[in-house]
Amino acid sequence: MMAHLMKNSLGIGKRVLTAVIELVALLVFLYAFLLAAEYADKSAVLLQAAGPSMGINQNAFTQFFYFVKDAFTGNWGNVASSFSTLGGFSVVAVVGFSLPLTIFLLAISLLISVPIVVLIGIGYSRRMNSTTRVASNLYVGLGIVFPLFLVGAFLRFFLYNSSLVISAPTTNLPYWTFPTHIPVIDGLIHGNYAMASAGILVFIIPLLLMVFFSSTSMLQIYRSGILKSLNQGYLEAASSLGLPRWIVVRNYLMIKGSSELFRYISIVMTSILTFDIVVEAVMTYRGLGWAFYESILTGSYFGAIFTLFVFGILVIISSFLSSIIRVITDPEAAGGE
Amino acid sequence: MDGNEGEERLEAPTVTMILKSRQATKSVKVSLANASAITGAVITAFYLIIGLLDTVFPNYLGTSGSMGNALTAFNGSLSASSSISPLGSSGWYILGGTLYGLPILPVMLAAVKFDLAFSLFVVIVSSLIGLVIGLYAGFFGGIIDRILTEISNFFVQIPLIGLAVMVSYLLGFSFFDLAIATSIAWWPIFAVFVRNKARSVKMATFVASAMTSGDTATEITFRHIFPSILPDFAARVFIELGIVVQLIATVDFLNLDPAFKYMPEIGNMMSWGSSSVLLGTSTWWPLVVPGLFLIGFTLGVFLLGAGLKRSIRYKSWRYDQR
Repeated sequence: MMAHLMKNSLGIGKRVLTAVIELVALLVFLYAFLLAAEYADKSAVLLQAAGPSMGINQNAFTQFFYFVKDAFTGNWGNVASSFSTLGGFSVVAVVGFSLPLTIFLLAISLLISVPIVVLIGIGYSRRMNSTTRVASNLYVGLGIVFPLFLVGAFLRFFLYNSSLVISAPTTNLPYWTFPTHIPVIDGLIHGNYAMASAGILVFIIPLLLMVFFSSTSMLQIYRSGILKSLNQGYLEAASSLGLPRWIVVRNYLMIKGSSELFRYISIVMTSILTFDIVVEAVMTYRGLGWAFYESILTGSYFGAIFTLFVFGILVIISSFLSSIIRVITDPEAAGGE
Repeated sequence: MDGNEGEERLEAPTVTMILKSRQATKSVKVSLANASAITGAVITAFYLIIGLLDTVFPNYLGTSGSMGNALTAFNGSLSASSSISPLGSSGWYILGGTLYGLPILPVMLAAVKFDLAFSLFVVIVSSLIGLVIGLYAGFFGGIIDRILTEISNFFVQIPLIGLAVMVSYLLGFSFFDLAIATSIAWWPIFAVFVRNKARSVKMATFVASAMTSGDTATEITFRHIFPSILPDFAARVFIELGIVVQLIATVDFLNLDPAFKYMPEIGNMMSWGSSSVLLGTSTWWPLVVPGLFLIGFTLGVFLLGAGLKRSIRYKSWRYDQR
């Protein structure tokens, strides 16, 4: 196993490095053009936050190096003063406060949605038109047909005055709790159970939305992995040798489905993070997606660009981890494709 | 003497061959029998007709100009109305009114034109770019495939909605700018899809046969590989059409694009509708009616896409030809 990992580590490392360079290149493109244009107009709110130290008065080529240096040294500028909640705070502080909430939401939703994907995905190993397969198709179909923002808007609307929704806008920083900035955990740490239970209540709807939409998104890829594998000769051979179907499913199909998921993890993660931005914006959940949304609304490009940068880093980290897991779990991937 | 002479050459059907074949008639019958495709086609046709109506007869919605112009004319002078017409009121207010005292029905009907124009533009542009690049990358492999993979990786690292909005800012923020920005963010989805399909079809016997008989790469990709992936590609196009409509509605619902603020658009209407929560949750129709209208469209294109995929039945046609 380790030998496979070592053998593949060079390829994985190369992919990660390329991904980081591509991400920085893409963002610097946006950064250079957006900020340079605003700088030229001399009308942008970002000027009070930017300063020539970030190189926005330089040409695009020079700005690339400024951006790379700033990205990795944490000089991300300040959020524009018109930012409704966080005006004047540094972008690093905003990311630092909001990221744990997003990570918490993503982690819990993935913990719940992955078993759902595996269980429903097994439905595709059955014959065509079986009830489980039809039910699985229906589940995926619902995820495609119902837009996330619409479901979120309906829930927010009809639960507006309940404690499940953050309805009153907060106008200052202290919304965030300490030390983890996650109210549920901080409430438990400080023995403040009212805070913890309030944190749980406002967490329920974003979690349910994330679980449903993430699982339908992952299921589409998991399903393709299983369906591809169903036509393999050795699967028929295993069945003809009298191997029980559940063993075939457990030992082979589930692994192939997961392997496909890991293979396309960057696409999956990008969808999930898109869902995250929408969920956080609609439900006023104060994570990174909400910070991005507020930055766009108030024209705070530093906030927008660097929150996108952090999202990109999350995709790259998940790609890196999934490459390792895939090499370990799928012998076909370990042996090269 | 050619060693292959006298042997039947396995050849993939072209689009024309499929359309002229008996199997095409069979496919139509299958389509007719396919309830989901028919339902999807009827729903999609309904929305298309509404979109065309507003284009051809801009006054039919009871305004002196098109609804788009009528709303844009407000330009910030719209003020929230404290009373909202209930469902079942007379005339254009039969589906009730929304936040600014506007009737829901005509604004919603006018929204179809904008949403369809936007999503058709994005899907047509991005699918054509993705198709050509994906076919070549899938067929040739090697460096072209590598470049495609890197370009698509380049785009998929950023959440789509973030990328589309940022590029739209970059271009200047208008209806057309957002459409261009979304196309830029969307084409890799088609390219990767086509590339994966083309790679698997490339292994088929008829492709090898075409290669040995000296067909050019363009002939092989467009005459042999493309017809083979057509059903899946068509299904994907329709599904993406629904997803792009959802995207533009999401952007407008979240007020991320100021250019859309006074346009008749479903996401905008839902944004107005969600503000009506301040009048109480009993005033639900400004949010729910446009929402159901949007679900209707995405359901229609999804059913049509899924139904088409099953109906074209390319495989059975191919095996019949042998």
